[in-house]
Amino acid sequence: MSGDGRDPGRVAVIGAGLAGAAAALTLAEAGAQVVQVAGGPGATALVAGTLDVAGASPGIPTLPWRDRLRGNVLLPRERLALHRRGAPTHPYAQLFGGGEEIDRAEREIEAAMLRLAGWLAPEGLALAGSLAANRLLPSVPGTLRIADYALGPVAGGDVLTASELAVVDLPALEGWDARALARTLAHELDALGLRKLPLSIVHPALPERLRGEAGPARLAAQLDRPEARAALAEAVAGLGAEGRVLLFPPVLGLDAHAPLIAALEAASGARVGEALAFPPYAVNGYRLQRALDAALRRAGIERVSARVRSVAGADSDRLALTLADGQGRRIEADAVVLATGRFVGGGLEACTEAVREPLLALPLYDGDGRRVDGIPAWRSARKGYGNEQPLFSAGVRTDRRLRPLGSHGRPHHARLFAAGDLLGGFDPSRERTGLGVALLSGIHAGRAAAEALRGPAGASAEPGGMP
Amino acid sequence: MTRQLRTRVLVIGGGINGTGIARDLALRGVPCVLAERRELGSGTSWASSGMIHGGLRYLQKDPEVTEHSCVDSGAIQRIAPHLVFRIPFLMPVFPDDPLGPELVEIGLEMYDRYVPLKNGRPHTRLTRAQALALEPALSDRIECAFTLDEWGVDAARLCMANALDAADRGATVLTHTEVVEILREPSGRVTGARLKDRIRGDEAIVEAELVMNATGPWAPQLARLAREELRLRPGKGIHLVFERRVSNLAIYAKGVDGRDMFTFPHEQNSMAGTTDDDYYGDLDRIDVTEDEVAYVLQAMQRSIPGIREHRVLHAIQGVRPTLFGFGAYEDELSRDYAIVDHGESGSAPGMYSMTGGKLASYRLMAEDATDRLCAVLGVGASCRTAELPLPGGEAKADLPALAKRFGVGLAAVTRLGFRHGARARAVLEAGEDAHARGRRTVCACEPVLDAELRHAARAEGLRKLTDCTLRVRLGVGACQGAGCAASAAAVLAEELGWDAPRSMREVAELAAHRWRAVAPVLGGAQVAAMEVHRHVSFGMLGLAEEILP
Repeated sequence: MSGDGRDPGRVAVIGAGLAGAAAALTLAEAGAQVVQVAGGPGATALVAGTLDVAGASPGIPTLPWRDRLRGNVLLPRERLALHRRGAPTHPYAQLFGGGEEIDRAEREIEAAMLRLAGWLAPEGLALAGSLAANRLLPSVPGTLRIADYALGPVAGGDVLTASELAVVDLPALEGWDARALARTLAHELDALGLRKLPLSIVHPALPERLRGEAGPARLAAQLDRPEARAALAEAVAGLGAEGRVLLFPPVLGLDAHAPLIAALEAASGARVGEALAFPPYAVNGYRLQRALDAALRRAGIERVSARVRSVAGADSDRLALTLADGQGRRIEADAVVLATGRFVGGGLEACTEAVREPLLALPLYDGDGRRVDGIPAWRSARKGYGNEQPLFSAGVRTDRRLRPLGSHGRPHHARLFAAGDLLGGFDPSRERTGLGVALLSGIHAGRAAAEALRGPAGASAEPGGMP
Repeated sequence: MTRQLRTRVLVIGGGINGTGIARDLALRGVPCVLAERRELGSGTSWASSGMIHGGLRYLQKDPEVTEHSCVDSGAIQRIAPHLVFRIPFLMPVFPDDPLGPELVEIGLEMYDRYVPLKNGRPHTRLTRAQALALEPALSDRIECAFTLDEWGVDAARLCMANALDAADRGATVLTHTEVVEILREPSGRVTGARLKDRIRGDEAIVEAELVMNATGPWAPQLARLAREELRLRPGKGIHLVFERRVSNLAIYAKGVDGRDMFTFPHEQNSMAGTTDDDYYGDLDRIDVTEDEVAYVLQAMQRSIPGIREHRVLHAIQGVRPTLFGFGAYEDELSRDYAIVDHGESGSAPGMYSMTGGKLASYRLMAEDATDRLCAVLGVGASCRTAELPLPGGEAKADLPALAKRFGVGLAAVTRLGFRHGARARAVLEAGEDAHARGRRTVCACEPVLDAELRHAARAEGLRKLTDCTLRVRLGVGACQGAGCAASAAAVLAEELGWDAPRSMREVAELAAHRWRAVAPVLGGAQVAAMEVHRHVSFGMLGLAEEILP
């Protein structure tokens, strides 16, 4: 059926996160018929609000807490170059090569970000950033995170472009402590030599029904309502000044965040930003997930909500998915993109006896190139929380076309591709390139799958690929 | 300038023995100082099963231990009813067990004689069908099963309650304070100790008429500071902690070597254990090994075939200060205790050491030790620790009323009532200033309220974030502190005046502390939880490697 030049071919993308969405949308744009299969949201729905591409400086996994960091803060494009040179196992090395093609990598990242911005914009979710400048974004506990790209609601909190920062106090809200945030932030700014930024805490008089809301997600849902939006805007009226940033907890609407932030900025006269936070404050992950889901719907991509039990190569150019839907339904496809994530997403499983890739039993490698499948998780766990933990850089290995390798070292199947956190060889927590890898590898895998559909199966295989 | 303290008794060690003795001394009006090197109850007391049971196991060889445990278990139920919970046990009998049901029942009938001492019910015999209906997790290979009654306790809070009462009655309680030197006269008489505060780094001299070494497995190390030899047969034990209840009842299991073990509901979790192996390693870095975990799971699997499907959260490990004995297997060693007078056994008059013993009979042991000390000091007052309630045990708290009055969920108040008893109201009141922030939930796993942290800092001498794992069970649930460490540190920073770097250090130490507990048993859904944990630590908090211990 496939490869006859008329039938576009059918591709199954497994996974609902950013990597799966990027692959599915790229394939749809290339004219393929796409079915996305996912049991539920994955790690994308838990993100704090930044879309890190360049990540942290290699060897400096976090933004320096202390002043020894000063001078070490590189521009995103400089960090990216270090990543590519210094980390041969990082998926970027596969995507961009380890050589001197830095301009191509930068152009590709910028183009990918523009496409992502286009996918998110219809839901009112903005994407801000560049490889040429750092943003410094405060988190809920008050630490500062370096970022290249970020979602609109958190991008407003950038302290590098603020002349004054006012933390909004909401005393009943769980996990939000304006005084603690300000105290930690003052220290962070001082350590970075940014002590001149005036910091204050403001206490807007909230209406009663908003004041008592203790759960962040519940407050965010309340604030989707136009009356609540108007009431909060009224409460912050006059709190603004030239160059002032009002820093809120990430509760400024679940779905209607754009009109709320616009209303708050108009009423206060200040720029409005949200602090970064992981669960339970995962509203930015929720927003990103919602916007991606909407983009997939707009592109007419079929969505099957079920967990996949297994994937098998039916023959050299077809694969079959068996669903864990109680009926063992099968989906046949001319190509498959695995974007199933790691442990949170379910792309990797840690059973009592062993870590494994549950769909195809693909071999898994840690950051040192050692196999970690077939042995229990605790055996890969090293002493010392801060030490490198190979278990958390475990994933599949691929060829340049992002086809996962089988234990023989060749692609497992000519038309099986992988993207996102499932790719091993990097530690998303420490290196902070998780969403960058998801977006770029998702687009790459989508393109590679589309190419595979265009040519006969044998011709798309690289030397060493499946015959 | 080095601080000077003068007291009558210096008690070293803040486990159940040290805090029990300090309370007994304080109740008899004897001034004392208690010095604990880490956190109260953080050694063997915390690593115990938290059961104040009679010790059916000891009935054959140590009937006295069984009797003492039962008597004292009854006393603990009287003085700290809020900390104690009933644990009904199921003892399955398998067709291949060497003792058939009849012989097992004879043992249980003997045990029944002691059971009334601790307010337990006599055993019952269940058919296979009855047992399986009662506990569906049980293996269907069983022949029949017996029930018996035991009691559990929050051991860390029991230490805390003893220390609090001692402090309320005039004792000085110093945590994170270690003994760096035992002071002696030229005659050899022990006259006190030089202490070092491990957080502030400053030193203090405590002059005391008597020194009580109640450091459990560390007792030989401490005795060596006075150039005294003390022998123990230290026995390491581990428990596995499951994320939720594996079974409603505690269930006996047999190890491959025939040893008795059990899994039992404990607080929000189930625990399984324990092992008993001679231990000669570093007492401050006790590792949980692959062998131990496999041994415990293998035993549990015989009684509960599905045990491996359950998520193991973390392991706890400790070392028993068992009395020295040569030529016996670990399990056969006596669980009795001894009080050593170093004036008689060696050449350090004025110093005493306590060795051996059980959590269940701590109060009786403390009474015996305090009697000895008081006899030397010429104090005639008698022991009142079995009559006077521990802090929180004075009355029953009306938890639903408190939940309503303070606008806090009943689940959180119930946990508060369990840890603080009648003092739950005082805890909630501690959170009423500062815009009623105290009502907020800091840790959702347990749950722990902001107010409880403030109370711990103000009224219980809390000094470190890692101490919260024992005091309020913060950071020991499914998320292992990912969701609460920064918020909890912010509360404590406000109460204790921590600056930002100190707060971050505390958060980093908690992360390292939890990783040590989780890593040896890491598997299943906990791997995903730790993936999130690392995202929070490195991705958001920016915990730099150098501050991770």
